[in-house]
Amino acid sequence: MGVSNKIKLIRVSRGISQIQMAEDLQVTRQTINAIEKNKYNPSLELALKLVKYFQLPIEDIFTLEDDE
Amino acid sequence: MMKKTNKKQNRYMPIYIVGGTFLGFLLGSLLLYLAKGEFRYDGLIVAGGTSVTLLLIFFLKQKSKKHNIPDVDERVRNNMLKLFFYTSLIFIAILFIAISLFTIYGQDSIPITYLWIYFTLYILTTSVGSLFVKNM
Repeated sequence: MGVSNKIKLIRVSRGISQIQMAEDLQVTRQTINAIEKNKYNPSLELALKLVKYFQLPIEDIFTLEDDE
Repeated sequence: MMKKTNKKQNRYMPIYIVGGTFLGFLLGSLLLYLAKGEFRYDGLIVAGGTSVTLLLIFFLKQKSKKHNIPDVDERVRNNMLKLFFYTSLIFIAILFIAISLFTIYGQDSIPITYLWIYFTLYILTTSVGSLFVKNM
């Protein structure tokens, strides 16, 4: 089962740049990019930080996908 | 409170690394002096010069940073761990094959120079690999 996210959608809709988000969450810009492209799954800590950052429930940010 | 301490430690980590490396070199020179009775000043000067240069580069890099973004985060740490794991595994496998070949060809001993070259190659591979992994 894979994990997908809507972080890019949410970030762009709120007019936040990757660098700004990286600075706010204290991660590298490459990490934000990797998460948005589903190349990297954040740790639980970072996922919860994202939830707090966007003020959205976790289900609205991350989705568990079924493998077919 | 804990996060602030971690931030401070992360900020000064390059200073600790450079300082620690220089201290290690100094210790090695002292051990060499105790063992062989000669103190290599030229090596110490090179190590000192390299440490100062690296610290200068670090401070200039910090000053030129426009954003307060860390150099290393969880993803970079994971990639570094993977790099060290796979590099170590590959080097151990190569060493195993090399020792097997030495044994097959009837060699009773391996010249220590070969071992130093191999060890240096390992350090070089992990160092260069870390640079790539950091920017991936």
